[in-house]
Amino acid sequence: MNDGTPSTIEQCEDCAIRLEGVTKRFGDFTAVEKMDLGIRRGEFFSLLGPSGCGKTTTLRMIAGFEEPSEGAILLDGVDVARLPPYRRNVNTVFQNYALFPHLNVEKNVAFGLKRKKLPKDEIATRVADALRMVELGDRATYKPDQLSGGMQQRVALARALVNLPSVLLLDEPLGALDLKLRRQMQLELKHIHKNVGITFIYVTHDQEEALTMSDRIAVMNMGTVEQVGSPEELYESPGSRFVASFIGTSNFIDGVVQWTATEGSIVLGDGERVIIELPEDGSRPVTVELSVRPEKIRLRESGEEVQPGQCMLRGTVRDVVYLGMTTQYSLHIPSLDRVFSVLEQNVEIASDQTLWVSGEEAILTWHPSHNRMLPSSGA
Amino acid sequence: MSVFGRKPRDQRVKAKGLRAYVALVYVFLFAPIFVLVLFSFNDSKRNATWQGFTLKWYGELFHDQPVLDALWLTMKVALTSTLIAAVFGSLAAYALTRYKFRGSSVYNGSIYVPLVIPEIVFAVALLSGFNVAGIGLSMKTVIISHVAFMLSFVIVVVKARMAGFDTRLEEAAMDLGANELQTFYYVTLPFMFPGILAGALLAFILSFDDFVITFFNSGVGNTTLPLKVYSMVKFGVTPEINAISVFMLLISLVLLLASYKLQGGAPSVVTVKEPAKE
Repeated sequence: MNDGTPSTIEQCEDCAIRLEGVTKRFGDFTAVEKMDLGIRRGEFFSLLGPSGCGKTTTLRMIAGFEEPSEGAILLDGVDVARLPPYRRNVNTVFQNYALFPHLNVEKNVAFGLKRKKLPKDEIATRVADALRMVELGDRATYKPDQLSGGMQQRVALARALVNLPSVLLLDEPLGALDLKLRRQMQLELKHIHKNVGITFIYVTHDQEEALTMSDRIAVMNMGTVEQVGSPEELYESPGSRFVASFIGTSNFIDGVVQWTATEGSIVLGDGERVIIELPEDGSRPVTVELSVRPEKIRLRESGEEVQPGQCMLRGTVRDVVYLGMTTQYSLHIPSLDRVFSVLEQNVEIASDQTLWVSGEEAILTWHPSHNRMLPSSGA
Repeated sequence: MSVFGRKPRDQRVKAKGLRAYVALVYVFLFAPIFVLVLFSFNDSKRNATWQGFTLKWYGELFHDQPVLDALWLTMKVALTSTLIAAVFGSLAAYALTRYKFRGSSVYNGSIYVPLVIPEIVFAVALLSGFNVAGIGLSMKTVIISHVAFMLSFVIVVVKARMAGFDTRLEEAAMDLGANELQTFYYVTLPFMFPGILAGALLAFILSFDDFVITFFNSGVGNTTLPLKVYSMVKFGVTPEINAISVFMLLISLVLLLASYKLQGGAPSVVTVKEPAKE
């Protein structure tokens, strides 16, 4: 991990859930490897990663459907790794809802409370409250297959939340919904999270969804956590090449650095330069890999003067995609032999002005503070 | 289909021929049964000619003590063996669909053996089995024999039902605080139940009218209704036998229909009562 990115081990005094050295192997395949993770009480925490990265396995271990091969899972400070699901104060919202088809909505929601043998009138009140919370008060006597996907999803949510678990686990709960309903449910989920104050752990492969909803996100890849941080931290200070490319789009620059007392630079010839601010930890690596976000880069006419102290590259416009608010360009950078992505706001584009066109020569400039130094893959 | 929405001539001829053929098949299948039912109302000692309508054979049937004894025995055997086969068959079906264990594929395959081997072979095998084990033939051996062939039917039907079971429902139940037993009782069993009932009804019908296996394994005096009918037929087919047959036919039909309804009426068929609004 480089400077400024938080460690994967969260030093929270009062963790809702804490994973310590959790490993899960299926035969020869290691799904999750030595995972350390702390999730704060009341936070909306997402496990984000491509399919097969181990995020669902992690969730299933917390729920109790899989037993870790090694390590401890502390729920409110107690190791529950070897307890069956019904002896953990954790509830799950399943990907395809998993509502009981033979029970109506009300009985589905009451299922958990009945197992706890609560008094009948208390169950009735809590079920009614839960259904009101998800706006399904009028559907109490419906069977699950009489409801739309979105409604079934809300029943699943009510069925889990009515038990007031320490932690609510959500396994890609919006995966089966169409885009519009998905957006609506994202806001609704966030709203409910704020109201109930329960810790949510949300598994998704959709980076936009994770960025929209989460307080913090753990980006996972190949069974390990790459980085944990707030959406802003992950986007602005990606801790690895994987995070930089998985969350949003990044342009990568690598090369040999010449360090002076005040800065470093990668010199590429013909006035092109990439300036690097001095790392705070005092390290002076010989080679570096940098990432720059597309919206940090400005395009200038090839003859224009560039301020000293700015990074500068020459490129040729390849593709132009006009997106209304913004325009997305891809440019070939001959000195790096790479294609860069640049996102320009269309603020200064008036009706009589033209965008950049394919084949035009342009200069790319940005401030050195937008360069993110990535740890070299060998480290 | 032609452009003008009418079927070409040769196709219409074909359709007509097919219809006649289908009609013939149905006549072949159901005419004997129709005659059987009709002559159970015949006011004559013989089945040869129609003499007029009467219900007296049904009346006689319900005063014929040996027939009633046979019916009672048949019911006892069918109910007991169905109960045993339903319980053990369902448990076996659950194990075979939910768990992979040593030899589970062998078990899965061998379920079908009793369904395909000739009944007579099955009957003789059971008989020699009882002989080797030194078990005297009695009502118990009849029940054991019936359970033996019923198990396969129950397992096959319940397995078919279990194939559509979403195991995440069990995970959801445990997640909500139900232990293994409660999960089975509140979630798995209700899902299996239509299959169990369908399998049990099918098994009951098979036991109710079984002849070959019962004949070989019943011993002296354990006359079930099919055996009784057989012995009565030796002295000529009377309308009373027709009446018994109609009675058995009715029971089988009702149970069979119920069984089909239960298998077809699985909740996997999604029914939306009203257009879902968001």
